[in-house]
Amino acid sequence: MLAPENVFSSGKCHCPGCHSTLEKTANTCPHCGFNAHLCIARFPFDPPPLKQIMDPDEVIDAHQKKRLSKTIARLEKAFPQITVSFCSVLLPEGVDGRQFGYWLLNRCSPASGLDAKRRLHHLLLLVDRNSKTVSATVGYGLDCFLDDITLHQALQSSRDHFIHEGYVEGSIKWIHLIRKKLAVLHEKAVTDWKRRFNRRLPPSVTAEPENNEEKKAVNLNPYSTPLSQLPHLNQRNAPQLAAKGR
Amino acid sequence: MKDHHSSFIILIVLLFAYSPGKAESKAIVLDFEITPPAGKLSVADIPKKPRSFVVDEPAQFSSGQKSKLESAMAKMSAAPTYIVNKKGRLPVSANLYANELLRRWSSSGTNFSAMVLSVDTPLPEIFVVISGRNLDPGTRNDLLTLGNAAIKLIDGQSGQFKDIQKIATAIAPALNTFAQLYQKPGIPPSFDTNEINQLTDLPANAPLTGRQPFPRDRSSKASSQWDLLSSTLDWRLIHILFIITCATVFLAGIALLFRRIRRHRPLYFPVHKPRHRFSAPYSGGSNAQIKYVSE
Repeated sequence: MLAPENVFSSGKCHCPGCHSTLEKTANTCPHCGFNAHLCIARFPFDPPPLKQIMDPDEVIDAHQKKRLSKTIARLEKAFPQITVSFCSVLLPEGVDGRQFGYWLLNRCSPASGLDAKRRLHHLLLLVDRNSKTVSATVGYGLDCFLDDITLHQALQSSRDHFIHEGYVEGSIKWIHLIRKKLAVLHEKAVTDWKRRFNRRLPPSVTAEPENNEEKKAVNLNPYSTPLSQLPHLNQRNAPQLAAKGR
Repeated sequence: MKDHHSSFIILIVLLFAYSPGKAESKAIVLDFEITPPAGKLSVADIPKKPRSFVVDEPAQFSSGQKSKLESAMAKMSAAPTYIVNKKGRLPVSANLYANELLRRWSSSGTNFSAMVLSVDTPLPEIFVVISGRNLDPGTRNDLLTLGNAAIKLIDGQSGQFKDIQKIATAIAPALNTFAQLYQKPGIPPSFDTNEINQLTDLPANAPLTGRQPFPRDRSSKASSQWDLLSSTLDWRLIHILFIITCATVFLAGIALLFRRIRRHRPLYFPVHKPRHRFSAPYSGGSNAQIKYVSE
């Protein structure tokens, strides 16, 4: 049984383009006209495969990569539904990391059905070394639990680490913080679910969803065609991420 | 055995025979030459060379009672008799315990010695232990008869001190007289020093054949500090405490393990219908961003 999202959140959302708060879901932002097609037009090239650690410039040393990978694995072990990606890139001037993260998460083709299923619970941490910004983007499966405010608070809490110890250490710190927050959020989510349905969680809710249910969930919205299925656009202005062939 | 010895014993037996006996009492006859020392089963709570013939560990006797017994026992020069009042159960069997004590306390020139051993437990026991050297079967029987006769003096009504006093004051002069008479024929056990030296070279567990005298100093060698300590420890209590501690540690470990498993169990968020936005398949744009440069 799939619970409606408003069991866990108020239903408000933010536009990735203008960051204004929207009271209800829409396919186009009423304030700035942002939609997926505009986003694709902004980054008209093939996205790289979504990996755990994406470092196209090879600026992160092996030890740091190992530490980062270990931290991510710890979170993924504690929350088997969730997958995490870390991406360090040099984005061109004027490109917003949030929009790039949004594009990357949606545009990147999943390798398999399981990967597509997991993409809903994906957590992407994107570091733009050019503008020295770090942004976090989450999938639909998590956004009602891990809202923008929580993500921002965690980033603020790890900001000192980003500044003084580098973005890798800052990212590790952030992942640790998120893991702790997720444990609390999970407890709250389960309580909310029990309060709403007044019974124990069935296995389909507590465990990973069945493929069919997930497929159904993905296809509930007629506009949910994966961005990768959209007509291919020419690859001009491809940032170095694509240029490195990753 | 000489006839006068037997008649003397019979006289004493007849003298004591009318007294009612007691179930928790026993007469024991030891021969130092054939009874091995206690070895590991040693005692630490009894002085090696008591200054008194009365060793009253739980201090149940008054000073008057003690001095009365002491003065009675002090007269027995041929066969010293000791009165030992032991608190709590014996670490070893009564004969080994008495053997160990009498071996320590009896000088080498003493042929006979005795001990009235009172064990002060909820079920008190009184042992009459008579020891000698190179006892022939006849003498052994006579001494056992003497001990049993002394045991029969216990009436179980006049109190423990009275019982001990009766036994001690009966057995001590009787054994003393017996020892004096026994020495008269002029056949005190004599030891060939070479033979003893040979025996002391034997290993501790070497089998003894016939009536070989047992090396006297073997007992002191066998009693190590550990033996003395082990005799003072309540092993049963230690065993129980060990089991309780192990059980507690085991249960605590199990509880910690379960707690750890519970804390580290994988958590799954409730699955909900995704609220698709902006025609995006996987993410609706929930995000946050900060700039990580110092201002």
